[in-house]
Amino acid sequence: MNLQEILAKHSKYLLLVPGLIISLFVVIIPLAILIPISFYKYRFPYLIPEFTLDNYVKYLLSERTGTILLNTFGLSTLTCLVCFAVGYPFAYTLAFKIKSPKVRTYITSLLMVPFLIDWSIRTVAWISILGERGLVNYFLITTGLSSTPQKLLFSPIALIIIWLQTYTLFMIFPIYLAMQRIYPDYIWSAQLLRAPPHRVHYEIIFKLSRPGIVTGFIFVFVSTLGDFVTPSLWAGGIQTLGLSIASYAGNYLWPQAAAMSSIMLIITLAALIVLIKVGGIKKLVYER
Amino acid sequence: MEESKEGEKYEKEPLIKDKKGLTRRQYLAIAGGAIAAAAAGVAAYYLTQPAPKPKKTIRYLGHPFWLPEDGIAEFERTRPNVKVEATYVDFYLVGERQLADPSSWDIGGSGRSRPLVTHKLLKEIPREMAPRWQEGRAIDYFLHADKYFPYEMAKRFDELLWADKERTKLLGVPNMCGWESQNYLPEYLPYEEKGDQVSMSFEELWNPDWKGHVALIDEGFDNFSRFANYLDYHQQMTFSGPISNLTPEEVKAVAEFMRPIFESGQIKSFWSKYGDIVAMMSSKEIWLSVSWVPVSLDCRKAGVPAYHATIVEGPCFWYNLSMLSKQGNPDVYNEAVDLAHFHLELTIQKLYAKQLYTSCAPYWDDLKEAMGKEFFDWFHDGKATYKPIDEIMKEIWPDKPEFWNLPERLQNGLFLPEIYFKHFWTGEPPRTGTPHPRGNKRDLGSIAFKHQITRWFLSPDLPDYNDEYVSKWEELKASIPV
Amino acid sequence: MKILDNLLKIFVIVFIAFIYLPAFLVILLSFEKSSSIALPITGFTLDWYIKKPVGYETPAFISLYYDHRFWDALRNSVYVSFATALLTGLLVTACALALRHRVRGRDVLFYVLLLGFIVPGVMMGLGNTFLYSMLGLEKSFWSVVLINVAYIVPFGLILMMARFDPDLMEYEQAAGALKASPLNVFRTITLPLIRWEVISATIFGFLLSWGELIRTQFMLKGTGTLSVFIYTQLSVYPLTPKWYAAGTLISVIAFIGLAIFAFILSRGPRSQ
Repeated sequence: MNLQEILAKHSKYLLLVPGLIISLFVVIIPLAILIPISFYKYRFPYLIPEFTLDNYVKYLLSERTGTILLNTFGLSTLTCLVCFAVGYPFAYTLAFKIKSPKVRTYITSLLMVPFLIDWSIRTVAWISILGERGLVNYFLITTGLSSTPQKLLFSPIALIIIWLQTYTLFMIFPIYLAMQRIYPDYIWSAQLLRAPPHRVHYEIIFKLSRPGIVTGFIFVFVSTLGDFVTPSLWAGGIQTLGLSIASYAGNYLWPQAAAMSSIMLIITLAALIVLIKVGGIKKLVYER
Repeated sequence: MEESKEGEKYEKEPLIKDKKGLTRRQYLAIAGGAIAAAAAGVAAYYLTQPAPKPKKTIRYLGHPFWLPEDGIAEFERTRPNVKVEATYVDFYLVGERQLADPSSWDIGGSGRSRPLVTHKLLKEIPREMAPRWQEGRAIDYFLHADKYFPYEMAKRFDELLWADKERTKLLGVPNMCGWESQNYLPEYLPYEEKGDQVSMSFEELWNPDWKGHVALIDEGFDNFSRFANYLDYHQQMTFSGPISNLTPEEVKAVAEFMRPIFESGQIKSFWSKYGDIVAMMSSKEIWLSVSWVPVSLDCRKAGVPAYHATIVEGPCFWYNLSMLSKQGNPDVYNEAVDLAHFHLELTIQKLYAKQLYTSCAPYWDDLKEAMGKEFFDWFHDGKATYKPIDEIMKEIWPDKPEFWNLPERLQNGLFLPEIYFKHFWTGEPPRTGTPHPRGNKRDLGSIAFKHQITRWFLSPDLPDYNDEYVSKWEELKASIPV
Repeated sequence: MKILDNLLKIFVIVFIAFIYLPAFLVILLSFEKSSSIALPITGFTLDWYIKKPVGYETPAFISLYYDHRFWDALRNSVYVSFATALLTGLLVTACALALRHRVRGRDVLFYVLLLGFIVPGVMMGLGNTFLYSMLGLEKSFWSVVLINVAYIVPFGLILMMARFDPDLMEYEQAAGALKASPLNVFRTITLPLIRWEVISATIFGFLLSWGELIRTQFMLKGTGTLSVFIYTQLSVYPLTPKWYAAGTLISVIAFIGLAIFAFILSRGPRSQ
């Protein structure tokens, strides 16, 4: 066997090697450093390397934990649903209703441009829109729909709007890609067989784009979990888990931060596994 | 044979040929070629550059706020065999990086140096190596903290700065300092600042008239210390030690006091980035906030009158410093100390002064001369400007006649030292004259007055029971109604 | 049905307008005369773009053209994002192709590769800092690229897996049965069929690493990427229309770049 054949035979393992090496070095080993730290005793500012479950126990039993976890995962889930409600029709229109491929490419490119403007700059622009002296309130007051300025800015509404504007792209893209894969023949044959439009849509389009939908959910969910700065500033002081971790870490309280990170990791991983199983992504891949 | 020939033919023809002109493959080929040529050109350029060989490299880990690039350029110009490699990260991540990897930096800036001090990661600097750091030249707190703060607090203060009780070895060279309380917009709050005079109380923060328009800094230590100062001043609570180092029970008690304020929805914004709080105040969404002194300056620049309050309970004192890492490169020790001390020299102090931050060693002739008597007296001694405020308005806002007829209360809130005292930065000769009775006075007044009303210091400390502070702060924020 | 179609098209336009509303304000407000960052506009000026500095300005007030730090950071961002995008594209393709087969323990491997984006950024940064400290490594351009890649590859991986053609393996096996060499199989069959997924993964890699803040800050040395630069500046200096000018400039460059890119792509046969 020459070299090429040997490589081909073991290709399925070899192809994984670079990815695994990077994962090992950048993710696994640092985690292996941090997780033991989460079990250290802490007496500011010293880390005492004695094993204790305190960090986990105290955190899980604390009264505020429930609220914070609910806020964090609730907000992210809500954002996923809202992004889906907006992104799915958008992707559908893009994939099936717009015929010209040029227009489609231009639209997808258009969506990406605002994303490149830095987050801090983009979000401050919202003050001019949602603020008490901003465009929305100006419109509401001059048309007489409201007599006093609405406090939109420091509330969950502002947060959802800002996240909608930022992350819907992540929902649209995968769904659009999945929808493109659907052979038009399926739709025509269903229509030929006189299937009612809503059934055509549900059975064929929705079900076949399900992996894309799940991918979109994963993207938006994980991204919003990682974006802890936006809620703290624009949502009226809602405390999220990401912010807790950042604030503990910034205050040099690393065992507690590591413990909370592990909890967040476990919950997120569980959610991911559920989403992937439901979405049948692996089924599509592991067809054999 | 025929088959393979055909196969070859298929491979060689381009896959797409339904459009006239260049096919997409050719486009990509051209683009690829262009990029490759550009890359080759760039590589050739860099490879042919002569490699500079500085003798010593100092690694700085901090923020351009403490050590701006212009400062580095000036430093390297005057010390030709030294190069500074500056890594800038966010203000709040600097400390984490410094503590987690102390061997990766030689000199760093800090606003929260307590953990580094406690872990003994800082290299000592003998006082002789910091010649600007002398009796009568530096702000007195640094040299005689016990004269100003109660005993326990002075002890904590000295621990952070001095490696020994005799005050001969520094743990870092302070670069800037100041006094701080809260900022407000006089268009909404009925107060004004008049130099050495108290204007309002800390409790304005929970005045229900300003509900939803109040912002706090997003840090437990900062807020609990301020509230503890309030409670201590009005004798509503007694504390066993410094108010910036409460015991867990005391933290709980202060948090309990703060809880009803949070639960009523009084405060809905928490800022951690300076730019955000300026944006919120200069757009008039927030009318009152616990924030840094320059916030009011930047609001004024946007045309919004703003003041930094002189509160009844007294401001806090804070300072930031440059420190050397014990695990840094020992070869560059002298150069690093030189750089730390350089912060106190005129180049960098001019930049600090733009934001009205005081030098920690301001009583030097070169600074006094460059400032000129009017600016120096205004800056440090709370004296009035030589021109009355309504004339100054015409000078600062020549294209905004609507500002010239405002009440003085608002006009003083639009004063911009950067424009009125611009000689300090441009080098023109300063104004001559005497203080005018209707001249502008600096917010928070003279240093002597501030000595008198200041009761505590904030930075660069962190409390011993920081975990209690952080978890209680989270609880408070979690109790805000959604 | 026509009504529904038209409604949907209107919806698309409305949504694009919604996404562009802040961007539009950013562009508009970059010409604002005063240093206020909110409406109303009080005057028009190009100062934030090209005014010559008089000396000792704080960075928020130096015009865009003269702020060489901004250009340094922009350049860094481009380098980092390109490198990350390329590496991501390669790695994601490799891993996705490999994971299709019944590799032993592939479930576990899949989730191991996925860990990169589930670990909170602060922890990943901190852990890596500890690691570098223990190994005595210096941080550099590549430490930033590596941590970005580890974070972004899972995104690309899931994206690819959401869309792999189930017939792909059949084609490959058929080609293999016809005695085509593995490299040829890859080049002529696999690659064209997964071309769009690879390009999407690469583009995503670019976009995500452009905006990546927290992880980058832990691993960088020197000035840093543009998002780090802006974030760092805003943590102690005010937001002024100068940053809007920066945002506008970046949008314009991106617009032109993407227009060129889209133009090239749309000249192809596939209606994608």
